[in-house]
Amino acid sequence: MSKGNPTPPRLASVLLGFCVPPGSLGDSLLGDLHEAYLNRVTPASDRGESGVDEGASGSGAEAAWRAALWYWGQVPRVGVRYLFRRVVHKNLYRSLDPNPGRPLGKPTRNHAMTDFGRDLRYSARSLRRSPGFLAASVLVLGIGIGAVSLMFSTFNTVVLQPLPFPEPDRLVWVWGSTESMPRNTISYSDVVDYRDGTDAFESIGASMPFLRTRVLMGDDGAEQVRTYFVSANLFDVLGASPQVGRLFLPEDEERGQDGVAILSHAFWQLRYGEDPGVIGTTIILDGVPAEVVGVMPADFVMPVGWVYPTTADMWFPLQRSAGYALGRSNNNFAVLGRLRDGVSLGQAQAQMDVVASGIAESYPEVKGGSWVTLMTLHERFFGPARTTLLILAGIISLVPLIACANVASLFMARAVTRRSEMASRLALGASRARVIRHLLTEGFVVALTGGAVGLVLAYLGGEALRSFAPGMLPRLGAIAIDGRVLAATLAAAFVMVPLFGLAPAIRGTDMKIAETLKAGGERGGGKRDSSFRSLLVVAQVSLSLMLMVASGLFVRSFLNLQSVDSGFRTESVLSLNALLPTFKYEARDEREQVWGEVDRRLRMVPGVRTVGFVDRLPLGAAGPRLFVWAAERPPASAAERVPATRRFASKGYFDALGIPLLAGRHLEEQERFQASEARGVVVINEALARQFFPGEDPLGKTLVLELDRPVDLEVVGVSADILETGPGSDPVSTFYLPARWGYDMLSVLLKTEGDPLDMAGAAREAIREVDDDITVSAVQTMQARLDNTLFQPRFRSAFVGIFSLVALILSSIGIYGVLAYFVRQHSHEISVRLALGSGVGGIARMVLIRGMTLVGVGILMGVSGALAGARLMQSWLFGIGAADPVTFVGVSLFLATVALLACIVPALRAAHLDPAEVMRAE
Amino acid sequence: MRKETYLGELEQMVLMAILQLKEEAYGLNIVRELGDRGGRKVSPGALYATLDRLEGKGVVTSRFGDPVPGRGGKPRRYLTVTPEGITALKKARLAWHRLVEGLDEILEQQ
Repeated sequence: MSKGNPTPPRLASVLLGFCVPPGSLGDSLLGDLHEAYLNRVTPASDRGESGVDEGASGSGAEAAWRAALWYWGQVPRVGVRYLFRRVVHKNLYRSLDPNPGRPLGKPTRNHAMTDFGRDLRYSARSLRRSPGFLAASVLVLGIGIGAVSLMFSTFNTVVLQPLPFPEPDRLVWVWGSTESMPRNTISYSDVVDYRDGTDAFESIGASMPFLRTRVLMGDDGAEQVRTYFVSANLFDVLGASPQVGRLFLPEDEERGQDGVAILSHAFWQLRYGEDPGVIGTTIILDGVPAEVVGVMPADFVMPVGWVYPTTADMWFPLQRSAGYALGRSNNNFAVLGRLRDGVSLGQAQAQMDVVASGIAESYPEVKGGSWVTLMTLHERFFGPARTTLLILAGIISLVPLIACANVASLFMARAVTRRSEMASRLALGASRARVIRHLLTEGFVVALTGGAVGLVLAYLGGEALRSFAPGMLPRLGAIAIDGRVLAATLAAAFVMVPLFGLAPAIRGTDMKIAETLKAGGERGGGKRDSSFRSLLVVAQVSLSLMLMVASGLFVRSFLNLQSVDSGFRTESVLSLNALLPTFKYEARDEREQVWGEVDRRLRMVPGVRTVGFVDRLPLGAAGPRLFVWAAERPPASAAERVPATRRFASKGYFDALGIPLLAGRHLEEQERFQASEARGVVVINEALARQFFPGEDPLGKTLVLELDRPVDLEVVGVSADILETGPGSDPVSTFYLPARWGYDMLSVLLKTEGDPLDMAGAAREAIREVDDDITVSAVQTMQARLDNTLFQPRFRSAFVGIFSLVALILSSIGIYGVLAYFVRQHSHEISVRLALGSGVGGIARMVLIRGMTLVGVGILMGVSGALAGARLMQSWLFGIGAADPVTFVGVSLFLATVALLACIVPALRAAHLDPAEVMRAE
Repeated sequence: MRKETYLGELEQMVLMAILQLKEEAYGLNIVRELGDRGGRKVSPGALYATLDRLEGKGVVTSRFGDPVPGRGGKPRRYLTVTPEGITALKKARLAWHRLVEGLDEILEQQ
């Protein structure tokens, strides 16, 4: 710092300057503070004039920063105090006139109005006089703010809201992990070990996340209900309380069979009309009685299962002695724990790691190389959604930016038309800052109104999302406009005011006053205004291009997905689920007989060509994966085991879906799979053949399947790969065992002639003829199932597509506006040219070239922006790269064409100007 | 008919400081005067608030001097006590004397 002329900290000066009254009064204040600062920096001996020694001491540098600190301290004490007093006592400072010597009168403090209030009224009046401008800017801002509002409310509900449990951040989800399956369930024996071996948790609960559909017998027939098994303490872990009755007790886990049940609120409402008398009554499921002991409240959600929220009708306590709870390798359980107070996730993970390695050591064949992964319950369900929303938000956030640029252009044009008004105000003594403040107030009014419009648009958008995209994100049904969303909307409106208002306000007040007054105002547009607006157009074009590229990539991905061959035919195939009442058919033979009868009857239905059975339909959840290996190449250790997907399927399954057999033969109906025997036959798919029998003919070879003990399966056939989880996935190693006639629930596939849905009624009838109590559900065509898997990509394309269309429209209007303005500004020059014989074509070309140059620059910038940003979306794209040239070129051409159309009207207008009229108007 | 003008304690001290400083009564100097003579440390913010109040009450007037290079080219605001101000000070002094009558012993017992 120069010793010659130390100055107070610049930023503090600016802030103070903003706060103190205008004119000499404020100046004298600033001068005093400046002087005081100097006194503190420079010791009295160094100062020429006699001044006050404010205690400048210490070394030069120390004095300097002490002084600076003191000066900064004056910002709140002097600045804020003055700001407050000015706002409240406006007239007080009005009357403290800078003119010297004038006697002062007592200030009138009658007005409750403030500077700000006066600005507001003035702005409202002036905006009312320009309804077109007001409507346009409010609408455009409304779109921009609405987009922000919508994204934020979605984010707020889906990700930010805490889970509806007490202290939800202490709830922890536990996955069992191995190299090949990082997110898996664990066995009940493991759960017990973790419970006993750690003290990081207040309580640990478990559940079987697999839906068990059971048959409830009632007076009006059989009904399918959705049930889950949970540990008796799981409700306690969550901190939930029943609405009626009680929760499970520890002893409920040892009844040997279900014994007790807790109902969900929805089921209680539907089935029992919310009658509290249901407590204590007995219900029969699959022939087994259970006593209803409790009902959960309406807002309760059980966070088990694979999606949130999981709908269930009732919960049962898991039975420790049941088959599913025995055995170290019976990995049926998901674990949910509540951390003790003060224990962190990391500490819990560390403790669990110790237990996990102990288990791995003690049971190397089944648990070797396994560990556990802990995460918060929120992360488990909403982690992926957060990423999705962030990326979508990033894309959509281009819209408010475009809106700001658009409105800034409008404000700029308006500022030009008000130049004489601004010039007069400045000449009459208003400070430039004052006028700018007034102009910003106008922007503020527009932004607030736009915010209101935006809220309405966001609400409508939310409703649309809800009806068209229910499965897209968890908790989507709950999106609403709440206080936080309102605050965010308001904040967005506030932030946008300087973005679109500051530059036009500064430009609009930057003038040589006399010149402007002389020129009469409007013609003082000048080159700089034009270039600023041109800049805005370039910005809008580039942002729009980025949005459109995103949209284009999504659309192409979606089209690619649609055209993928999933390996099976979905035309004319009907699917349904059939569930046997197991209490009626307990023995395996009996069930086989029933399924056989179902098969026979369905074949007899006219129009049905093929009947197939499978335990799990394609295009649904992947299903159980079991460890297999080629007999000749057993895995060296438990950690090297690789899983494959298991399916139980009849020959009819392959026929109905048109899955070709590549080698060998299909499974015969009578070749039932008996786990009790140690051998059987199997059909494998290509992927499994590649993975486990690379480079050799698998027919006749032995595939070993690991159950409680290894089972040898002879490979009798190889089928083609199908995309089990739909387009966009890769084929997975799958092996098919003969349809397990011993199952109580199977999916049935019917290949039909004609529309499959026409067969639905007849199919139900046929099944009912076998047994009235067999329940049929989930009747739909395979084509519908396929369409469902394409839902997300379709939605993404539509969602982003709509916004990009809006952006394109906004930009086109912006281009048109700038060119029209240009023509108006240069109408004199153009008419001169026309009068001197310049061709119409030449004029039009001049305007077009000007417009398209801006568009071209905008496209170039947009392309680079899109290249950078598209990489983030790669995981959503299918069949194309993020830098797909076809999309980029196509979108650019499309944008250029639309822009060209926007340029044509002003160009034609320019070309057809009547020179005589223009001259007359001047 | 003017209403009674009452002066607070700080307001009285500020008026007296202005009178003491005669031609040189501007913001910073008043602060120094209050500190040196009156033993009272006043922040600039408090002083300006008081000055504005006094001006509002009509007991001081201000005028602006020429821009001074040493303080960023900003002028000083010089203050003068008006006749009303003198009257108010006189009244205050009279009141003070009347109220302090007979309290010499107590006040000197420090």
